[in-house]
Amino acid sequence: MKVDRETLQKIAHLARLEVRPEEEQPMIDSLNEVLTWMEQLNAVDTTGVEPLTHLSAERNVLREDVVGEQLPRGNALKNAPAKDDTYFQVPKVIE
Amino acid sequence: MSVKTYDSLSQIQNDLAVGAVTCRGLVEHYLRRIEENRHLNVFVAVYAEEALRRADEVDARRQEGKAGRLAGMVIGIKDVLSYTGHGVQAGSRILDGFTAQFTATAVQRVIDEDAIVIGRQNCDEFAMGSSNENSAFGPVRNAADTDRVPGGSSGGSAVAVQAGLCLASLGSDTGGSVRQPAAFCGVVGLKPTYARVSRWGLIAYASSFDCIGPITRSVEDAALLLEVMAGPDEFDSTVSRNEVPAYHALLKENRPLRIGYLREGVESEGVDADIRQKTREALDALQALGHTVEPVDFPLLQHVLPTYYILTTAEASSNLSRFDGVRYGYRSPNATDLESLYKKSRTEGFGDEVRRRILLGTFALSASYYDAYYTKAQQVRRLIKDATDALFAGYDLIATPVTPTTAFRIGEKASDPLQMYLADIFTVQANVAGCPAISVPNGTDRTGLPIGFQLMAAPFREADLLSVAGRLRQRQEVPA
Amino acid sequence: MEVLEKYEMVIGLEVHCQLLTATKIFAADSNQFGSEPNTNISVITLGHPGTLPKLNRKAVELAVRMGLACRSTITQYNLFARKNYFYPDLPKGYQLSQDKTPVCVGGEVPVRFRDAGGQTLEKAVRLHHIHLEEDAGKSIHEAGQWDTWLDYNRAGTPLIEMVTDPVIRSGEEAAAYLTEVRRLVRYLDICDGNMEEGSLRCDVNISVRLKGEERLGTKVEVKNMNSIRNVQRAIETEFRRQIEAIETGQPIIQETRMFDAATGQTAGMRVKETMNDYRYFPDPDLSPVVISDEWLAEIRAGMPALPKERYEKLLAHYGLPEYDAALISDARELADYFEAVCTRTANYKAASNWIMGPVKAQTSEKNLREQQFPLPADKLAELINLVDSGQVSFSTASQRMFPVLIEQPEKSAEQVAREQNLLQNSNTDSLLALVDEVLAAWPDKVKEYKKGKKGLLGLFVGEVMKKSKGSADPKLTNELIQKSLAL
Repeated sequence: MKVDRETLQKIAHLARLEVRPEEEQPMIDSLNEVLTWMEQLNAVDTTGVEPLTHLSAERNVLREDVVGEQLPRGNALKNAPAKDDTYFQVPKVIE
Repeated sequence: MSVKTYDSLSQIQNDLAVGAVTCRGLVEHYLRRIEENRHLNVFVAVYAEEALRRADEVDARRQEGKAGRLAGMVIGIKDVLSYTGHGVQAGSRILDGFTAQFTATAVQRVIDEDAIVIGRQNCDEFAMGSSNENSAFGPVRNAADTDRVPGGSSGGSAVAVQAGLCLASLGSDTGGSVRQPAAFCGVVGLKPTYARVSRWGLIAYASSFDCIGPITRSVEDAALLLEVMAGPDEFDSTVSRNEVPAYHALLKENRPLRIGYLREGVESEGVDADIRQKTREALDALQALGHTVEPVDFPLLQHVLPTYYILTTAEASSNLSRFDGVRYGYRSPNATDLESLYKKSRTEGFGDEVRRRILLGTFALSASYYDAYYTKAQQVRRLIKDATDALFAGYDLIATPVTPTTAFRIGEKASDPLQMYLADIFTVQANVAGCPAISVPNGTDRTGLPIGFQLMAAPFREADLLSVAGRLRQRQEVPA
Repeated sequence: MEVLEKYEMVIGLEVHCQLLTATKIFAADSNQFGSEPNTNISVITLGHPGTLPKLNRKAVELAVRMGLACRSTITQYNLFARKNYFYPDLPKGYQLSQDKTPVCVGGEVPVRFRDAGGQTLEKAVRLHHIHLEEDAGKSIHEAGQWDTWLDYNRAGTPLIEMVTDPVIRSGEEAAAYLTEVRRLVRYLDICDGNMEEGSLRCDVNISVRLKGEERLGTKVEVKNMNSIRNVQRAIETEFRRQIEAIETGQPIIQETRMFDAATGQTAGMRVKETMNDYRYFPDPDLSPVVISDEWLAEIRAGMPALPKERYEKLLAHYGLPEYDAALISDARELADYFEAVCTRTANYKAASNWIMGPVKAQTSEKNLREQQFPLPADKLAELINLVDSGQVSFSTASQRMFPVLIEQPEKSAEQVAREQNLLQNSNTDSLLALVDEVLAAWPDKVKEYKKGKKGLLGLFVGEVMKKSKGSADPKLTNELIQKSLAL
């Protein structure tokens, strides 16, 4: 499995990252290098093996339905790059 | 007040008790050390006033006989741990100016026992790296040789302890990020069992691998910090509800154990000769202490790294999606619409290595490749975990070197991602299988660079790890 | 019209219901609707670095409740999954949902509706699954604003998403399905079922094909319908649009279209969305949820009764006729009210009549949802008992006292009757005295009555009523007069 330019651009878009033209080839090369190396895994026989989705043995970790501490709006907005005193703001989203 | 270099909290507490030193005196001492060693680039921020104020509070509490277990301990926290009212940015520009609105459980618990937080420490960006060269704040330098890396990602945390800038650090370990820098810097680094310590407040890199761990000068301090931090809280849904043993008291334990060592550690040409030699010496020391020491094989070792990289990059690619310039953090001034807001903020805010790993992880998860990479890696992970559990059925501890080389020069490995990845080969297994592991100093190579020795145990068997590591240290009588 | 007949529509519905919990699904923020923007949020909701989700037990139980009501299979081993995409109202850059292990699998919702020929059909709409997920925040785009505003109060609200199999074949059927779902969620205290406020939302997936064709046509998703009526309109308009496209040789594009209530049309979105690759994977921060048999039994035992069970109780225990039982059990609030009234009066049929008549007439849909009845249950019972004891007539009670009691809720029924002088004289002795007076005053008419002019009864009753200033019990008066005249 090789990463080509088109795949790279699709992946970059999915991840909302830009890959500048001069970065493309080095990025493709380094991704391919690592991917080839990872293809070793195909040599491992995993027939009938359950994928490991959770490393912790905990089950049913649940919260009672009781209101807890909330952030005062001022604190919530504190770190916002763009805001007024009520809302977070982003450039207009066209639907 | 001239303060000597302390190796353990117990030494400090003895001196505090007889009035030879005060907490204020300690903080002033460390602040001076930090100032003198700014070239090491360890601290991103120093909380001088706050630390002095807290020192006075702790001194007052001591007079009343109400001091906590960690009174006298001055610590630094890796720049991935949330601490209310303080900046935290995971070594990245993308969180420039961000102020934390809550405190990590692990940090809160040590503060509650009267430890004093003196500052936050430089690290590889989003904990991605093995050399602390991937930080937006520039590389951290190894105090043993300032042209060399300290290891990563908790490089700042390790050098802080190495150079006596604080007594202990809280770092994080996802693939060796506490143990490997500890080895490169000649200090103790502990990775607890996965889920032993709550991850609430730890900036996530790979959620099913991340562990908070202490970096210290002595094994006893590591045991004490673990005891204080460990155990369930109300926020982390994966944290273990298993009872927390009295790790500190259990250090005295001295029963003979069965210790296996990976052959590669003493035989492989890929491991520096000096490291192989030192490893053999440590094994001999263990034998002399009364333990059974035997070689073991782990056939799946070659698959551990690919498994690790697919799964950690996949999880990371998702964990880092929240850094988008919308609610907090860096927003590019070049954004013109929503799409460019995302792309420019993230591209300008993240460093190269982070972007590379996000792309890799996104690729591994994307529809066409999910089964080939992600599912496969999860299956192999289960095989690795099962095989590791099987190994621990026969042995109490597994011993290996920590790294195949000692600290390399800054810039030396940086261009070759593959070589950098290989440097993790001994440490990553513990993260893949969820086991605890400790790195203890094991002498130096012929040029004087520190070497580390690693012991791993079965999940939740930190007590064995710590007691054996402690006795090994005592026997080596490594100077401060 | 003939052209339309050639085709059939194939519809699947996705209904999102906001759960009636006190807190959000993964954070302890308040789940209250209508609060000031950005006041029901926490570091978890905002996706601050280092935060972790923790699952609300009640959300799981409500989801299971719905599955039990729909006879789904409840999944024992539940995982949550991350659905990854970027949007400003999605704080973490992924939505926590369920992918491979929805909490309820299969199931059905029985519906009744009229088909195109006017025939009433009964059908069980098959469910594909029901899963738990978190809601996103709200984006506010106002005309004239140069930016979009974000309110995260709604981010993290617990949702269940119910997905049907593509078995619906008409707008009527879809409307009937939604009506029944809404009824069920309100009955079971799962959701308040309010489409205008958005606590219940419906997306339509619709394709068309020639009747008799087995292959499915290209599916189009339609969104933005804020009422059941609009869902029906959207289906009908999209059906016509797709047929027209097919008939004129244009391809149906697989896309999402927005329904415009003002024009009644659907429109494709201005910015074409790229096919999203959501990269689902199991969330590592939430531990698996195992629903044991014991827990399932607890949830089942704690469930409010289903509409059918309620209906049967009204028949069996309260002895109501089918018509009454059906009407009263239609809304949980009505059935609850009925039973509350019946704790204070034994005249169940009267309670039913009152509720089906005067009470319902004075209760709007909104009032019903909020359980705001014109009279509290105890007041209504009082009124019923007053009528039963003969102290007032039904017509007096319903036409004169009822409105007054609504206006003056602090008064008791008896108080109002006294104040308005409405209490009937049911004292036989005093009435007899009046009867004697009247009959004595009209000897000629009495003679005519005895000769056979029975219609004069009304005159005598009227005279007694006048003498009693309207307080005489007309029924009793009637009886007494007849008795007297028979002597």
